[in-house]
Amino acid sequence: MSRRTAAGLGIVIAALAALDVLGFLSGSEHHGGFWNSVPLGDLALGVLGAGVLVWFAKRILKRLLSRPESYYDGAN
Amino acid sequence: MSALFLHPAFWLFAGVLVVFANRRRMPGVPVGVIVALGALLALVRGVEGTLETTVAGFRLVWFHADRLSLLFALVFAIVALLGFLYGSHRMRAGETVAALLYAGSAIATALAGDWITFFVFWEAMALSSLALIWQGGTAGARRAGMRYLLVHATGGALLFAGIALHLAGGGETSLGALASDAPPFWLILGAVAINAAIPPLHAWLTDAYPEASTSGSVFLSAFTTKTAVYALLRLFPGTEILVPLGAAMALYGVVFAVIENDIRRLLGYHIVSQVGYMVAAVGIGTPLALNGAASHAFSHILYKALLFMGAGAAIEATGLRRLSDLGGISRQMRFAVAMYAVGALSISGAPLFNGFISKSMIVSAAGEEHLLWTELLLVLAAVGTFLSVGLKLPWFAFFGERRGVAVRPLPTNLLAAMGIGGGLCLLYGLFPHLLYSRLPYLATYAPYTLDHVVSTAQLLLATGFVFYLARKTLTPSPGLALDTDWLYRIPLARAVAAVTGALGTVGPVVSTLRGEAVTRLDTAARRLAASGALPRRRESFAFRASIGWTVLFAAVAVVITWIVVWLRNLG
Repeated sequence: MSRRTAAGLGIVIAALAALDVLGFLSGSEHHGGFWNSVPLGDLALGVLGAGVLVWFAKRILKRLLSRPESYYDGAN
Repeated sequence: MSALFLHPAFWLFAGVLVVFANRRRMPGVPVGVIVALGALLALVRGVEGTLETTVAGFRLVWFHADRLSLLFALVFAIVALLGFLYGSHRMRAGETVAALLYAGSAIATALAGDWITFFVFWEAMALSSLALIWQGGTAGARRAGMRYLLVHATGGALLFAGIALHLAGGGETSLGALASDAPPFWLILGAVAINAAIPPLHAWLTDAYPEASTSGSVFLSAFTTKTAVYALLRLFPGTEILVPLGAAMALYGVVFAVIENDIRRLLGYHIVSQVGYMVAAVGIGTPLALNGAASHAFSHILYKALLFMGAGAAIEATGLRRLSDLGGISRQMRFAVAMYAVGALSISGAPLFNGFISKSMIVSAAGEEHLLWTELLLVLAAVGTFLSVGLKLPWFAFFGERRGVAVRPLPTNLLAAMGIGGGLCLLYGLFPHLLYSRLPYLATYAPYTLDHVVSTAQLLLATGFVFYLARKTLTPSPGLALDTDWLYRIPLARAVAAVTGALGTVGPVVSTLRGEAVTRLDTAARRLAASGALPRRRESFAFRASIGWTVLFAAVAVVITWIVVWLRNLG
């Protein structure tokens, strides 16, 4: 990741954190899960969720279910 | 006669006759565009009411328009118009007829007010969608169509048996929520679950939709699964089993999409996933959740059609359909890529796009009912959706490594359809009241709160970050992933072959009967092919397959129904 990209990402995260804190301070309504009641909780859930998803799909599912393109050739 | 014109499906069925009568003189698609526009105009006013007639003692309510049915019929007409515009440079009479019948049947199903009308158009939809798949014209399309027929004939048999039992038991002839302690409830739910592609009954979708033509996929993405969502809303609101099924379905689709290489199959898995949101919402059953299901179906039809148009654009421009073969073509098709991005942001639920105003409603409804696990699974499915449709597919298909793929210019009509589709996704995203004012249930919802927007932005940003880190791991490779269709493609097929072999002793009799039937069907097929109603190369195959399986499953349905009725009477 270039320095410029990293800086841009940092600014976006800071802005989101500021908005999130602002939301909590303004007492806006929060529905649902515990991750909604923690500042930047959605960000953490997103990183964790996407990471687990990639790991499970590519490391587990693909190894179990992947077959060559010709696997069904000759079948119905 | 004036009442007939009120029915939007009339325009599409009339279009079939016009195309058929002029099949050698004019291309079918202008007729498709015109009649779809007629259907749309018939729906825009949103006139509620009922039209019925009595046939052989049965009261047939062939037009029952309330807010729920009008919402679905309206979006079906919109997407039919977009589909015909999108495909107008390549669709021939046969494909146009199949698409007109399919769209008309879907609208007529949504507007059916009694069980018999509902069943007739539900099955017409199955057969016309099969014809649309076969119009893909490849050996893969023919084989996938056969499997599609096998699954949907089973669904049709279940629906037939359920309706017959319901009516035989003195049930109401008008469509309405069913009592959950009766066999018809489970039979009809099973039939609807097949059309809704609820796993493990979903593989027909990811198997068949990628095999249709590029324009055929646009139509297919819109109607079958969404009429099933309509049926769930109409018949099974608040059925609790649908909550875990829908949540699991939402995640199932995205997990398979992460490892998929075929761009249209990847999008097919996301139909499964997005319909999962709707199924879960129907199960939650609160007015907010039901409005969420209806509005998400509306949004989904628009952005999914747009995504299939984008995938089709890549296929038409390059002739390639696998991510591992594509890459680096965005500069040659900027507008199509931009419109695909609109669809991708919509399906990902990004603020300002139509998916945001509907998907967040379902997640909020789960939150309000304190369904923590459901909400968590739906949020994770949203993450996976952005990961594969919003990042993986466009990165590897349009951007990424240049492979020297030749790119043909795209026709104007195709780009115009994508432009209108993208415009609608933005329009409804920016002005949610345009959709909310048409919703069927009494519930209020404000999507653009600071909480919703910031939460969604965080999830999308996090997903982008993980994609950046894992993009090498996510690089697609040639191959396929086994799914539940393996069960009927390998073991069931082998079992059928074994049984057929065991029947060798009665082989001469079976062969004689079969030979006679096939000869007659082939003669009929050749006559139809000569008249232009069927593609010439496939008439024999199509007729043997479709009629054989349909007759078989209809017979099974009738036998099951009579056995159950007989047993009930005995009891």
